[in-house]
Order: sequence, then C-alpha cells, then structure tokens
Amino acid sequence: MYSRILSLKDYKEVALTIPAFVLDEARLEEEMQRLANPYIQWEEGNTAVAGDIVICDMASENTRFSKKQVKFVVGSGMFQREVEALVEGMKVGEQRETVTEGGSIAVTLRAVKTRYVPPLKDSMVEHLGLEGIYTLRDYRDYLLGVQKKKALDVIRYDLLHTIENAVLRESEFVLYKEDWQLLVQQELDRCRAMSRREGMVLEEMTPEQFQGRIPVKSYAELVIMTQNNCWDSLRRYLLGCYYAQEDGFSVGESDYEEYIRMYCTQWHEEEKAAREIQPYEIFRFNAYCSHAYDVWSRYIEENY
Amino acid sequence: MAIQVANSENFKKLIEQDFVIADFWGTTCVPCRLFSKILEDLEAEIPFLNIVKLNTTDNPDIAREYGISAVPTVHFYKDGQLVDSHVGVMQPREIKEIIARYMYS
Repeated sequence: MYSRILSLKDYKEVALTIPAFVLDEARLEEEMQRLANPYIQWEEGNTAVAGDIVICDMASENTRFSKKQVKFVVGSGMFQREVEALVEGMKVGEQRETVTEGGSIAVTLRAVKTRYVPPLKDSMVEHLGLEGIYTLRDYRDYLLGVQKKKALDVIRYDLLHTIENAVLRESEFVLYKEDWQLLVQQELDRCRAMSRREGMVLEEMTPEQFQGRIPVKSYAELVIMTQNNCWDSLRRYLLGCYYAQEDGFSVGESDYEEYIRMYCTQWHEEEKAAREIQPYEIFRFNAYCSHAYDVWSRYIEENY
Repeated sequence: MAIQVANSENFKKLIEQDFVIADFWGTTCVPCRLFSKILEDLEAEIPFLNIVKLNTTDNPDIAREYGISAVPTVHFYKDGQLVDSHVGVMQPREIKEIIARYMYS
C-alpha cells in the first residue's frame, strides 16, 4: 500500500465531555445476592409466610380448586392471589375458607417449606470459576467493572465518533487512487460472493433483493456507497497501522484461521464459503481499522 | 427441580410431562444472558418449576424444528403441548401470569 499519513492529530488532545459514572448500588447488591441462589435450602416449617412453599388440600365446587397436594409458593402469584393470601399465616393442619368469584374454597395446610438463604461467602465466588476473582470483595469489584462498562457502552459510540471525526479532520493523509480502487474491488468481490451464495448475480440484483441485505436499491448505488466507505476506511486503516506500530498490535494468518473457525461455527457456514466471503485481505484490513477504534476506546475507558 | 440443559437428543423428552418453560437462547445473544438470570431467580423462588434451556447456536436443527427465528424465545408447554410463547426477554411477573394460567389447569 502506497497511502500514508503525513501528519497526525493526537487523539488525546481531542476535547471530550465524558460524564461521570454513577453507581447503581441496588443493582449491584441484587447481583451479589444472586450468588446465594444455588445454595438456597428449603426447611420444614410450621407457619406459612410469603416466599414459603406450601402443600395444601383444597375443596371447592370449582374443580380448579378441588385438589389435593397442591404445591405453590405463597405470595408469588403463581397459583391464585386470594388463596395465597388466605394461606399466609396458617399453621400446618389448620383449615381456612374463602369465597371467590368461582365459589367457596376450603384450604387445609398440609406442609410448609421455608426458604433459607445462606449468608454470602467467598467460597460461593470461587465456585463461579471467574479468573482472578476469589472473594466477595473481588466479585463486588468485578460487578462494579461490568456496570461501569455497560454505562460506558451507552456513551461510547458518540465519544468514539467525536474522536474519529477530529482525528480524521485534523490529520493529513496521502491517499493513492490504486489503494482505494483495490479496496473498492475487494469489497465488491465480497458482496459478489455473498450474493452468489444466495443464487443471485450482484450486478443484476433488484431493489427487492437488496432490501434487508444492503441499504441500496441498485448495483450502481452499491458501487457509490462502497467507494465512499472505502475512502474513509482507508484513512482508518492507516491510523490503525500507525497505532499498531506504536503498541505492537499485529494480525497474521493464525488469527485469520481462528476467525474462519469461529465464523463457520457461528454462521453454520462451510469453510470454503467462509473464506470466499471473508478473504484474508479484508479480514486483515478490517482488523487494523478496528484497532484504531480499540485504541480510542481504551483511552475513553481509562478516562471514565 | 434444577434448570435442565437440553439438546436435540433429549429436548422432546424434557417437555413431554407437566408444565415446562423452554428457553431457546443463543451463544452470542446479550438479552439471552439477562433472561437467563431472570429464570435463575425464578428457579430460586419456585424450585419445583420445570425449566429447560436449549442453546440454538449448538442445536440449530431442533431450533428450526420448533420454529425459532429469534432469541430469546420462550415456549410454555403443558404435557408436551405448546400453550403459550413469547419472543424477547420476559419479566418475572409476566412469566408468573402464564404459570398461574397453565400450571394448575
């Protein structure tokens, strides 16, 4: 490739407004409590309270409520709210009656199982098998990181867009027509391979055939869109290559082979077709383009 | 009753008796992870619920057979018959409403 960067705008100098992260303590606590879920035990009880499993015999003229050994969770709403409310506070062996729209119901409580949630322990965290996370403290920090990342993901796109626009606008590039033409050709070849896979000829595709696949109405529109996209992506690629030289990032054939394996698994595609749709040159080009985003993204994370 | 992991070999067997919630999910589907947590919470609250999870990425044939075109998709079976279904994440309250409608019928 002959194209190159003449002068580069430092992305760290781009003015960004990064909002402060606000922790959702309730959600964090809820997630911590999930640790205990696999260790919940059900113990024999005497009086039914909300959250207990109860086993009841019921008698009613309504067949839905004329059953023996009915099991439900009190207050869960999974059986019938009035009956569940009636059972709350009952002792094993006790009988109560209620009248609903469907008729009267006599309920006898046969058994109660009370939910016991054990206190959180480090061993529960260890059991998750998360690398480097062994204690409750570690897990809390991990969840905090996850929450932070999710919050960042909401604003990440806009911040990346701001950086990209500024870097592209304030840097200078020498772009060779030959490089650009090659990219356009590679991308159109890729589209051609994909359309061929579906029994179509790219150049002859109708607006209906493009719909839902590529956001154009004709081959001519596709060529224009590809030309525009490749102009921008060529500059992104050069930036990605520059950053890669700085931080040691590299992409090779082994990465490609791994990518093809994953592609085949994910899309249930045969290897030959996967290589045709995603040739090495495009994979490599896209990887360096993405690297520019990764570098900017890391910078945003570090400053969030 | 723990959440059971199904595959194309055992799926039919797992849904043929009682009331069963079948969660069709995909490996790379982010909402599926959220829904999985909702089901785990539900299982912790109602341990005798039959929940079956099928990974459609690993079992595309069975997903196709059951008409799954998006994930997560939830099927509710009563004695092997599909009685209700939903595409997308369901909230616990919505699931309980369906349980109340079919589990004890």
